[in-house]
Amino acid sequence: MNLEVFLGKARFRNPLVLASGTFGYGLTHTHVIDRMGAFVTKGITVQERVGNPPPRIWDTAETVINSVGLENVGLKRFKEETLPLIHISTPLYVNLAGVDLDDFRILIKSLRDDERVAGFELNLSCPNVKEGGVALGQSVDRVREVTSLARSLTTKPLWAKLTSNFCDVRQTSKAAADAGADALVLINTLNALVIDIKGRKPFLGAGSGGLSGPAIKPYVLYIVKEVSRQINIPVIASGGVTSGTDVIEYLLAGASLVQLGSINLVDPEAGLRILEELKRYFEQEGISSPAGIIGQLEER
Amino acid sequence: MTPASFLVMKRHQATLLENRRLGPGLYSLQVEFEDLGDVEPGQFFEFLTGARFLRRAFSVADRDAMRLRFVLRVVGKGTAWLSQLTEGSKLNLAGPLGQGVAMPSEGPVMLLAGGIGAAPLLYLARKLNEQRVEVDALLAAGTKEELILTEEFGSLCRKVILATDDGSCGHKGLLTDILPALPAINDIQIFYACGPESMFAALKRLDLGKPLYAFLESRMGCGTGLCMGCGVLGRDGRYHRVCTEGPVFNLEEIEL
Repeated sequence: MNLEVFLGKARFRNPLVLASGTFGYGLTHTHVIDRMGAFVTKGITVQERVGNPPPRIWDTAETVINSVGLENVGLKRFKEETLPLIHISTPLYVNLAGVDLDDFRILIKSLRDDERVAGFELNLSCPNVKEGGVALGQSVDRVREVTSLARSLTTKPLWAKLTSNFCDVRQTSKAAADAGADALVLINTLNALVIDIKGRKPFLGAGSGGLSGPAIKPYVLYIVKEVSRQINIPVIASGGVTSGTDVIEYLLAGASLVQLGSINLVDPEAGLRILEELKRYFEQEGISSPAGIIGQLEER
Repeated sequence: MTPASFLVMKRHQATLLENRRLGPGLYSLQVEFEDLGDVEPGQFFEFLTGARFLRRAFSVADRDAMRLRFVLRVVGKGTAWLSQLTEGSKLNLAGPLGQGVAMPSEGPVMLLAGGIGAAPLLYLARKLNEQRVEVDALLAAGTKEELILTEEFGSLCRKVILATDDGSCGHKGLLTDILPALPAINDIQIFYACGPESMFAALKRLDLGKPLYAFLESRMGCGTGLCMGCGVLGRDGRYHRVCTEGPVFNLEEIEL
């Protein structure tokens, strides 16, 4: 059995990807990272960001709602202090969280020649910042502009991480694909509100947050299926995976890679368990490679 | 870079030996581990619950060989689920997490507990006692029923002072109202405090003139420094992770 996936020339030893913001900068738990298909860093902004005021996190039985707000060390410290400390054997994708075209230009130019960086995930979808993120990702034109600029600056793999918050993700997916993205990451967290009825105000320090976790999986499966059938570039699913069977569902729906996010907060070694579950399923079903099931969902 | 041990989550299947109600919404859980290394005062464990997605963090309140004691207050569905567990239940725990507190080189020290804040300070009292550092405790709570672990502190401390907001036990008033008037505080070298944020803010205003270490509580995501979910604002204008940079901070270093 071979779990390898190729997206163009980029090779992934298996379809599992550690999602941005749920695994730090790749400095700890490297024994997990080294078994995964790829690792995506915390979102990096041009300037250091302190992030949103607490509380930053809430949960229900099947969701996490966060409003961390892209707290990160900023480009300069990431490049000079953090990157040299990252020692992983897995392709390192840097999540770039620009506010505008200038930001993306600065971020990509600064990191594109670093051989430790395998590729970039364009953050067009963070719901927890006032500028950039969702504000870019809701606009077909902005998605096209950012992706097209990024494409003109680097030949490294470019993933466009998109949102479905108050926009048509089929249109933004098409824009990203037309502009030269190598893959679409569907989707970032959903806008969410937690209310403190005693204080009659939002519970989270930032006022609102982003919803993730198993409850959103059926919603994201639908998006992955729709978009992967309409758009001619690979789709990377991101939404509530907690088990090997969840990964299978996303592969069947049309995803080529599958990100693990919220589950890392419950157990940073969840990726190892999910990988074993995936292998077991492939063995039991006699599937020789992910290519054998990607997009193989049949009609009812 | 070799990561510190508390940055990598160690998971345990442990057994609940005792679940005892201490007061209104307050429960003491005695948990037996199969494998347990050093645990320092201030460190915590994260409990998986059947009611919520994320783990729930509880500091270690006491230790006896392979048994750890935790005290919880029911504030939502995760803690309610844990409070209803019966003896013999298997628990999925992760820890110890966080950094242990800096132990003092000399005493006497004073422990300042607001409500359930008494829990982690009890384990510190135990360790100080083992090191023969003299320790006093000021335990405060809303009512007599909410004052917990007083006997345990009594067996470990030189002096235990009790206070309640309503005067139903000990001094009447807030911990920070009573503290400045206590004659015992003059020779105290170091304070350790755990309680609600309002108590820390009031302690900051009191300015006791000696180091004060604050045991913080925070809503937490991963507990291992990955998600940045549990930030506390530092004097440097940055958010510090309660899970891995704390949970104990010098009160001077944080903004409240």
